[in-house]
Amino acid sequence: MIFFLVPLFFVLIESFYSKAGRFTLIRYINFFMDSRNLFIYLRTLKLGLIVTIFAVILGYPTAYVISNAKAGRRSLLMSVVILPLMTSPVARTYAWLIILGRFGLINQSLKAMNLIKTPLRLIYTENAIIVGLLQLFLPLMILSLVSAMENIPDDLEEAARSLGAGWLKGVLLIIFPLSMDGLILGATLVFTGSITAYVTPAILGGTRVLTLSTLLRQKSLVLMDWEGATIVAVVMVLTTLILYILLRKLRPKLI
Amino acid sequence: MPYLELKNIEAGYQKNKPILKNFNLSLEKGELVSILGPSGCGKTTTLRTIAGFMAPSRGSIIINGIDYTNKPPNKRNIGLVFQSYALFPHFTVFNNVAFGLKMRKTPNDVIKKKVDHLIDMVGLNGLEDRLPGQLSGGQRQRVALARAMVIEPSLLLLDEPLSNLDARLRINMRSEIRKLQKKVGISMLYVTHDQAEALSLSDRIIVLHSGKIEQEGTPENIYARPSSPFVAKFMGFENNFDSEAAEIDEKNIVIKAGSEFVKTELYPNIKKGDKISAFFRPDGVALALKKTENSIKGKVKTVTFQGGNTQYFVQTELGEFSVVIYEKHPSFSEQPVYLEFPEGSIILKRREAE
Amino acid sequence: MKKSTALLIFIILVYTFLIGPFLIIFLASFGSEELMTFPPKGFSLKWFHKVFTIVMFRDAFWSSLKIALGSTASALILGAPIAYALVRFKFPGQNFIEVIFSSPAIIPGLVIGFALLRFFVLLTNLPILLGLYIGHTAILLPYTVRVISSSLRNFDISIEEAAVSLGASRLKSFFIVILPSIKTGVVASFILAFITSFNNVPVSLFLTGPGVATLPIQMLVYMEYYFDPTIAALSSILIVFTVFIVQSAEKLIGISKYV
Repeated sequence: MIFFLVPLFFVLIESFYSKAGRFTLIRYINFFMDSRNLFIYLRTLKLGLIVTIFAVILGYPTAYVISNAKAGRRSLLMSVVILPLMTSPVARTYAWLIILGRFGLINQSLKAMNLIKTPLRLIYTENAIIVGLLQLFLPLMILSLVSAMENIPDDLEEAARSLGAGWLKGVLLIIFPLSMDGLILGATLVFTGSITAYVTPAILGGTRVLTLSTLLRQKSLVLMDWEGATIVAVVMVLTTLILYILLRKLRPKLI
Repeated sequence: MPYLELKNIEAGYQKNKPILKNFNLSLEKGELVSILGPSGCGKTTTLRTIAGFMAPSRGSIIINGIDYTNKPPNKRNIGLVFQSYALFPHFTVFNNVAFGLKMRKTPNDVIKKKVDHLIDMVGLNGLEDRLPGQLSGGQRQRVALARAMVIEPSLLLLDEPLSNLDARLRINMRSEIRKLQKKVGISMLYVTHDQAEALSLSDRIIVLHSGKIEQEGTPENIYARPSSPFVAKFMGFENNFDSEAAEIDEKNIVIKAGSEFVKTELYPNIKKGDKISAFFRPDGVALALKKTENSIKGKVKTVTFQGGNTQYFVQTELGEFSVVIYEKHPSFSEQPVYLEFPEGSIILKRREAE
Repeated sequence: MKKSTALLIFIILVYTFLIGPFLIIFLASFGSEELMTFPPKGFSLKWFHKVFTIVMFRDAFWSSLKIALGSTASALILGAPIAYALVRFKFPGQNFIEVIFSSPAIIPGLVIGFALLRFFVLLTNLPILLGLYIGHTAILLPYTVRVISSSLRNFDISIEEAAVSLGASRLKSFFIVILPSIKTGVVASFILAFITSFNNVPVSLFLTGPGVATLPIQMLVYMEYYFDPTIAALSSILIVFTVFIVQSAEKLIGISKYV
């Protein structure tokens, strides 16, 4: 605990106090006044938001199927879902390099079909980062949704059916509102995970498409701008904390 | 033609192991039929098949002359009351009850009228805006009933609806359900494992045992004359002994009871010399200190006073029997007694030759 | 029927997206050309051979293993009492601690690595291996605390009280009554923590130094200079191990419940 929290505490202190020991917000004002920093900050949030939205769209039907599957098949589906979370992030991201790279799967297939002459630039783009993050964090969304859906008794859906609701209406009116808690929890995990992930933007974004985390590395380990890096670190922590608290407030309170 | 008819139904969770096999059932319009049986006997399977949540692998379901076998559950217009009530936790009482009507795109003013009527009928006035979590068990049960009845279903299925209530409430709800059913004239199929429940509210009882109908009849009939050892045990004939028909005259049949003899009513299919099983209820017999006409010798082993009655365990040469006598104070201690059989207290069943 | 066909196609697409890349990396690692292309040209096992000849990978593998085992063990030893205290007792600041431990993503690993480097390692001249070990323990604690405390919540407190009333001390009853019944939770948190540490980049990124690096960091370094299928081959090996561990852990203890 000491090793864990004390250095963090120092980071916080340093970012808010001037060299003379006075409380100041000047560093943060300067950080956000710099249009490049602001751009990277907003881009990071934007990527997180897009990844979260896609995770909901892809995760919801998947979780529905998994939670309705029989025990044996369910276990198989679940163990495959968690693979991206368990695999070495470098290996996982490297796979996207093979798919999206200059001589990768997509460019080679497009060339073979005579759709393009010169390879498209697919890596070092925001889209590449989105795809990589989505593969990593979709499992978290699916897992939270599955556990929420499993807490809904089967007979609620049956009751809706017996009262005349088709399956789509049953899902929309019963399952969706009752799994809202899992949806919000999943969204929290995906969003905060996306804006703090490092390996995916580092490999698929490179130095061309920086995010907060790659900016933190650049400022500290490359430029040795320790003070600047500290600000980035605190901005990152506060953003995740605020998001976490806001989304927690959204969680419905069922009696 | 009966109102509901199940013909040669075969259904179950696994294909090669059907729970119901060649199952037939019928129900008249306005009738309340109970399916009674222990857990695993196939009663829930029957209900789920009728509701459309399980597709029978064979046979057909006919309601009012229309084939329902392949209709999806949401097109059946069959009301269903779940054991867990299955109320939608995020909807108010009003919206729970209104759900079925909304699915039928009923105009709002009609919904309001019908829901209010049903809520009034089950006595939940004033609770319309509560969520299910804020209701007591009995109130939830009423919401579940109202929700299933508001759609004016062609048939109402109830799956152990009272098993989650405490004893007193259960007894009240029994008569309320019966009253409601009579008033609306709705046809009901009621599944339960509680024989008292089935006896008190049914027009007809079907006793189910491992997927087969053991006996079917009016409550009085089943209670007095169970047709199989299984039904006998289920109807409270807890004591039994093996015997033999010793003598038969025009009025009575005399059976062996160890070294003694007792008599009971005639059974047309039992002839002199047949091996038989004899059954009697703990509260169907009496105890006496002196030998009476139709009694056997025994000795009280244990006495348990239970409030309104006393339970005795009486050791006889045929084994130990449970005897319950309704009395304010136990009148026997651990002493020799005679077990007295009033007329008709013993029922007989012929044992097939082994 | 229409509903299930549509859903089935959807699910297949989602699963292809989730694990398809792993199959591709697998195929790519058998290519014979120096430059990584897909589909691979030719067939060769030379990249697998090369993985084992590169000294920096071998050293990094052993450091990773040491750090992962050490930090997992200490995260379990530190995490169990924290989890126990969180579940059994009420104390001021409990909510704050629960929030910190409830999700590993709340305080980003990258920030933990950075903070440790800036205000601990650089100031104390800590040996690199020790720094890595401390950093990893810090990021693993949320995993062990979360999994163990959820197992403890499912454990009936009266069983522990029965043991204490029969004369066992609190500590003793923890070992002979509680621990055996939360065994699967402990095993699950061990597996999760080990994998997390072994795969970790954000913390290690800041805490590695001359002579000591973890495997994922060395892979990143290698990737900056070469684009041959060696990394694909190494990745394939790691993926096969991961699949093996995840599948057996799912069969034995249902690991997906604990993720």
